[in-house]
Amino acid sequence: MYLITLLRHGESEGNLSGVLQGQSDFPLTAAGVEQAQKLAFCWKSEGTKFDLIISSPLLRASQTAEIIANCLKVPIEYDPAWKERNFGRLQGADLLEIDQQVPPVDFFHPYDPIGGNGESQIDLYDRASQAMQKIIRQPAGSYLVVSHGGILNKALYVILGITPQGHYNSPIFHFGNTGYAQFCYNSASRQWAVISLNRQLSNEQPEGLQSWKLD
Amino acid sequence: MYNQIHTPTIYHIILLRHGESQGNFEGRHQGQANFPLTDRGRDQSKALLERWKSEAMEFDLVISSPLARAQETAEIIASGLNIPLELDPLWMERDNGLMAGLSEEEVRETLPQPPFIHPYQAIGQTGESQWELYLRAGKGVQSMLNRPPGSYLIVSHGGLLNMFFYAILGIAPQPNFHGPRFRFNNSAFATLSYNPTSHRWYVLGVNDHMHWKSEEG
Repeated sequence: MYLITLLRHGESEGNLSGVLQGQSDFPLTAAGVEQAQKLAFCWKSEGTKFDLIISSPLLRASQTAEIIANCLKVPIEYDPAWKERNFGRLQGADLLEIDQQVPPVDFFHPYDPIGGNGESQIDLYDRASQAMQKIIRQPAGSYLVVSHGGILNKALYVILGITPQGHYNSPIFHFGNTGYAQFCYNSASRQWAVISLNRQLSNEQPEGLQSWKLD
Repeated sequence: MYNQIHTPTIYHIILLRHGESQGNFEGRHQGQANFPLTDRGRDQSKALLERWKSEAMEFDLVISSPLARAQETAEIIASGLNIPLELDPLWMERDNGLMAGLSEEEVRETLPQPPFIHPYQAIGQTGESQWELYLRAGKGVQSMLNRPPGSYLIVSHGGLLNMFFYAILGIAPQPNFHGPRFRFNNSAFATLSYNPTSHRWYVLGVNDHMHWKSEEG
């Protein structure tokens, strides 16, 4: 049996200032560090065990992963496959100004690179498939992945058997900062169980829906 | 923008599974067999009510399966939050045929165990197939979106709510209980939004049972 926890990083400087981060690198804010610490302490007190933490090397994820790894005494492996989507020229853009930077289109398909030279939905889905497969090829155990909202959405697509859709029609799985999803995978029956999605420590309101066109 | 404040354009939908029932407690296949809540199931529902009160949660309408375990859960929430309640058999649990009300052992002793179950096959000899359940859940989705945008609480059952997820996410029924299983603990809920102007579903949370942490299920 595999227990797989997919965790989004804590609040980053980029989240705070409201930019589309993609693969641009922002550290955690003090609040983000605290979110990670609280989660780590909570997991420690509940006796949560991981055999391995696999983290995106981007700072906001790796700092989150290190806080948890230190607290729970778990080794970390960095895997660039878990980096956030490459948003091309949109990377670093102010989220409130994105609508002006992206000319409206009648339709876009899932193969369109985002931001001119970024990853398409299919690119991202492909990367998420490879990253998930790599975990399932490891021995059964408990794995924590520390990563980012965009690619974690596609990892969920891989698990659930959903393909990326054209235009804005793909479902969005919300991950708050340090929100996490838990799965069980039974490799004998090849069945996935979704234990929780966007689980959070406290019931603080999730941040507002991302209204702009993420795909 | 002022328009969006005064007339909601987004559907907010919470899918809630009933609290613990007598059938859950005894480990029975319930289906449409009608078991009441246990005291624990009532406590779970009340704990959720208190949580939602403290969060100032608001709904325009509660819609519930008429099966006792769901209806009783819905009544606790609806009367506590002072929201109207509608019952609709569309939200009942899967008709599981001759399995209704039987324990795991009784099912093994009295019913044949087919080696392979295709998604069109009646479960428990006379019950709903996976596809029939999926189609009913699809009608449930449609019935919600025939209503005006607003904030709705649906009180229902694990099997049907799983197919609701399949319907909105675009997952087809699969044979032999393959396909992902969305866990719903007793009195756990999932939070969804739907934007009809972009046809986009947002999944904000699944199996939230922060008000009842004592079991991981």
